[in-house]
Amino acid sequence: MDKKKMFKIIDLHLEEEAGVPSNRELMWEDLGEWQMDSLKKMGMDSKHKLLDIGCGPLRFGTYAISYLDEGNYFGVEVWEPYLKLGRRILEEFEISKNYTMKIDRGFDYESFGEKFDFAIAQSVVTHMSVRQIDELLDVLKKVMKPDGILLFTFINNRFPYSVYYEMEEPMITPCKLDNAFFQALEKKYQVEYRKYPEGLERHPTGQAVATIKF
Amino acid sequence: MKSINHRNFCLNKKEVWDVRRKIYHSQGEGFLLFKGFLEKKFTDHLVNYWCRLLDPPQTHLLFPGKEHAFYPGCPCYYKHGRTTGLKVFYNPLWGNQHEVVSNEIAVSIIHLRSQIEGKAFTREISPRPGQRCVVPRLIITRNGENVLAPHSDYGLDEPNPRNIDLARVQATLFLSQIDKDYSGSGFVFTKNNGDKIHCERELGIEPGDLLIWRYNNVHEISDISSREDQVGFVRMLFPPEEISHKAGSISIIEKTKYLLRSMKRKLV
Ligand SMILES: C[S@@+](CC[C@H](N)C(=O)[O-])C[C@H]1O[C@@H](n2cnc3c(N)ncnc32)[C@H](O)[C@@H]1O
Repeated sequence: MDKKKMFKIIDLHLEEEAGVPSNRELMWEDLGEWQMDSLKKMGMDSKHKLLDIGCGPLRFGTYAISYLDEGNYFGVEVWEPYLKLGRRILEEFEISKNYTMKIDRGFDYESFGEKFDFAIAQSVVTHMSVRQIDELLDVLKKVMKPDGILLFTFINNRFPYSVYYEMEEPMITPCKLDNAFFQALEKKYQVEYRKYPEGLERHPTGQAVATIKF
Repeated sequence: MKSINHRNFCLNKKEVWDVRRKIYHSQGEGFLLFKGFLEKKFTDHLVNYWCRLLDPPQTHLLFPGKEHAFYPGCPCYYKHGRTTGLKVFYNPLWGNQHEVVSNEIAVSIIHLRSQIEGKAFTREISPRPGQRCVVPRLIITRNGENVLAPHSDYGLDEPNPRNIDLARVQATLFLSQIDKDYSGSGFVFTKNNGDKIHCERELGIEPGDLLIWRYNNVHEISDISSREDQVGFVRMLFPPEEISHKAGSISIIEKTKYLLRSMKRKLV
């Protein structure tokens, strides 16, 4: 991304009281493009409906909203300032397509009244407790279409550690996200878990990549 | 903004964002001055201790170079340029047992900075090998040209991308007064709009003022001079240093001398 645009995004974060400069802007293109490329490789096309879990200030949204048909992008986020910031970032990228984004702390994805073909949680499971991961699958089971796919990235920590997001939101990273953990979820929710699906590029920051098919 | 000083350094939410916009926004200056961060009795104390009373070899080891100087439990270090009169004291919080006032002031500034950067305060105050930890530094510059060449830190041009961190800010606690205790350029900072500012003169900086500035903006000190009867340019800085696993190249003689001296101090 050219420097001018990056500093403009930083300015918008400050104006909306959403965050100080961070990797978010530095890795804007790497992570945006990786997500787009991976979902396309998994079979996403413009007609599909996408749920972006932990969508942040629409970093991936700037790619996905442009690509998908009008209204097919749905984002959920816990950090409230991202709602308005996301809108301003889209303006900055001159993207005027319809999309839906909401602040949600309780996994109320059914309220969108939609069934999704794809869901993505890029660097988000890394902020969720084990209980929240379970809740996430529980609700996705209800809102994903049969054969719908969740693409997610994670880190298999040895112990839980906490994240103090923007020094405002306490979050706990999960641990022991090993095969046994996901196999138990597979069984519980009757889904298909696959680590490092074939054909995808390595994650730009080295996180593990996996899919769950519903 | 209410008065922020070393006893009262917690910003409320509105203040945090006001400060952040001044520092990070492209329309902001890139710095903020906290006038009167220290009361006079504290600046007097610090100058007295570090510039007049201390005999560094009693409390500090000679600085062995940055490579492996800082590790958990490492001592304080000093550097002394015989010709220029430059003195630098590296005072890790755990090593500086002899001047607790400096430690307390350092902690208040590190805390204030962490609020601005949006980073957990406890992240960089205890040493963990492989990570960074703040090592407060007290510097006395007496004479010199090109004292600090123009450069930026943690910016986009860092050779190692791991070192890029555009949220980082540095703090300079001024302890002496330009044109009274020293002359020359003083601290020259390039603002977010690219203009240079000679901080001490243009901002009317006095001892005890704290300047918080964006680390990745270019900064420099082109020249400083002071007479025999002047204390020089005295300031504290708070660089986050890389922490290594164990002691590196400190000479055994230096270390033994230091240990003997501290044993003697204990016995006395
Ligand atoms: C590292 S960011 C990644 C943002 C985005 N996925 C991207 O790649 O640009 C993690 C995001 O997840 C959000 N988050 C954390 N826990 C969440 C939860 N339970 N539900 C929704 N969002 C969450 C955080 O607020 C943050 O914006």
